[in-house]
Amino acid sequence: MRDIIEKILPSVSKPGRYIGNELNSIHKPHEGKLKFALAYPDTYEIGMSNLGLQILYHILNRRPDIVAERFYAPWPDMEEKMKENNIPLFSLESWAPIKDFDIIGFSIQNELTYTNFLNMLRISDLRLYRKDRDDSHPLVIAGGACTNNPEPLSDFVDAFVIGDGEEVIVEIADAYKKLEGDRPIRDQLLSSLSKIPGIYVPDLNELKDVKRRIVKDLNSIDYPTSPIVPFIEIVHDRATIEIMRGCPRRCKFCQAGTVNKPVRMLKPEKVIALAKETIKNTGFEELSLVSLSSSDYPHLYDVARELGTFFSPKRISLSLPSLRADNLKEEIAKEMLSVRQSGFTIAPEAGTQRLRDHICKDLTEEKIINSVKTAVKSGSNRIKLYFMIGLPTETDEDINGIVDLAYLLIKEAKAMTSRAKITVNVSTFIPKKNTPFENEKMIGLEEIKRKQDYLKTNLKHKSIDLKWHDRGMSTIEGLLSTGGKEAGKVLFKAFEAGCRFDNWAEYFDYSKWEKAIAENTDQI
Amino acid sequence: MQRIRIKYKKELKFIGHLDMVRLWERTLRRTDLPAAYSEGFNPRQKLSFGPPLPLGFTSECELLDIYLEKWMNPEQVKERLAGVLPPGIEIIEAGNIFLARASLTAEIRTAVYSTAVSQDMRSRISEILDSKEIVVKRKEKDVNIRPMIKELAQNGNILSIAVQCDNFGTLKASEMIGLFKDENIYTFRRVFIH
Repeated sequence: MRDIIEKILPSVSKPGRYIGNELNSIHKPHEGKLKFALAYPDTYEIGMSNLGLQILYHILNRRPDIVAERFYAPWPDMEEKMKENNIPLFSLESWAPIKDFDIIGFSIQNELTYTNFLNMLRISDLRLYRKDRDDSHPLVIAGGACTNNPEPLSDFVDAFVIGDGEEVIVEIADAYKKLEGDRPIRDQLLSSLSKIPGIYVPDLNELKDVKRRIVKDLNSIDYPTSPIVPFIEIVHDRATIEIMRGCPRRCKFCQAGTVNKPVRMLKPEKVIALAKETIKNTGFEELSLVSLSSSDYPHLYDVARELGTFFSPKRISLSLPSLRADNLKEEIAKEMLSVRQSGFTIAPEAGTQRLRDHICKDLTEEKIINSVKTAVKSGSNRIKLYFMIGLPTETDEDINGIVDLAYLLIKEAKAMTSRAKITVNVSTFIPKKNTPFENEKMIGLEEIKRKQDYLKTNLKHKSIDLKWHDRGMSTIEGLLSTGGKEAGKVLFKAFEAGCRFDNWAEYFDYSKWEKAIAENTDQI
Repeated sequence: MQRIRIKYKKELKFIGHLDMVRLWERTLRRTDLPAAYSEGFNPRQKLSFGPPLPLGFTSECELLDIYLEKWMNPEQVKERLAGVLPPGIEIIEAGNIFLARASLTAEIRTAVYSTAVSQDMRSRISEILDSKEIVVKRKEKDVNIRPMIKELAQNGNILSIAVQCDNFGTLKASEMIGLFKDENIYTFRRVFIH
């Protein structure tokens, strides 16, 4: 098989996606070990950027009795070549087919990867419906943000992990090992999994009885300090340290902030030690301190200053996504910019104070203006603003508020530097499960278009760049993030109609989804 | 400042030139060698590379110049780098080079490639060598690649080809493979550059 793969790789785009063998990747003989496949239903570049999967890869491989290997969705050109040559989905480490593994754990972070998830089963010659799989097939489990609403996938996935995966993944492996004889009996295994807190096994336990799994102390997590260093450029091509899990803010639309409770923090000395060790073992030129709201991390300035001093001789830059506008300190801003020029991001989410108050976005216009000034003063000319349209109670006045605020901010920024540029990113509000807004309605396609058109017409400025989300994609994301089992039927139809890579503009085909929805109208 | 020339083997077929640049930058950063950096907003290590190896090919003669702020023994540099290189890259030798010497891309003229073949390619080889023009399409433009082929021969089961490899022109991997019209020839190894 290796020979055939080597022969087809020269003819596909980005062959570096499929070869593995990266620095710090782990290769073990399979013999006598529990074989755990870690799968991400999107390209290598996106899947490799997911910190959670890197953590799980490390935690599983630390065990001498387990081997964990990675699988990503092949790009359509590669999939075609694989089909032509009868090559099933293979792992990056040993190029072994996923069918040879005992457990497949999918990390599902985005509803628009659901068709890829199904496709990865299909091209592995695995049956899609769990009822059609038996003892000869690997167990298919799923975790990640999307398991907040598992029902659309519940006909396909054997068991869902709801919440933090670091502890539960080891418990799953142990449950499997305990049953090891000839081959674990599927029903027996699922029954024991259903008793582990945080695991939802469709048909065996009730979703409402499953308590979200929480790792109490982040400092107890064995974070990898030798994460895999990719050969090809990935989306988040840098070292990443998680400084805080959860968010002290209470924005009503935000699922991650609502479900990840309580807020847990990594000790500053641990952040610094992990950061230094990770840079030493990877050589990355950039390190990112991540959380949902990094400026709410109380030791941020101290950590940034110490890392800045340590990193500057090697010209390593520090990046801090998710800084909040209202408590952005100039010192931190300067620390970030000391090596490389980068931009700042502020998320007012709504254009008027009334609507910001309604969604509990704790930001005033004054605070937003001040943080733009802070950013420009510390040398950043590029400001990114994030807004949503379609929020509950929104009127046209709120949409116009986005226009007014953007104009006001560019005026303030221009007064300080003529090179100032603002990007306005507009997404569409999607009600998410387990949030205060879970029962709100999402606006329809026509209404999204009307609001986007209003912004396109009225927000015209040579230094403001307006970007918006595809309305069809938002609509499908909404359907899958709030829907139940019936949404899974639509998903299956859309998949059979050929939908793949739905979060990629070049592959997303709304008409196929529309047809799948129409065929299921009696059920929705 | 010191300039050290490194000769290395590359078995990573599918890692392109820009990825190799990043790979060497990161490799150097994993050591505590005193790398020299450029000035400006986005300081980068001063590295200079030989002609890019076509994607899909391996090599036993890649060249790279690295610049250090402080003088170091090249053998020691080689050792430190070797300790942190990813699998698939192996340093053959490291030695001092005059700072003022011309860049690698300015010095290199020719690259020699070889591949193992099981069949007799001599008639195809003569055909190629006898033709005055071999035209390929590059971005809608017709380009005659025949003058870029300097030598071509089969010796036992080894097929060798020497091609132009400088700032004025070079053969692409697909063009070199395409010459032979044989599906068993799909990759080459760079064995020599000069």
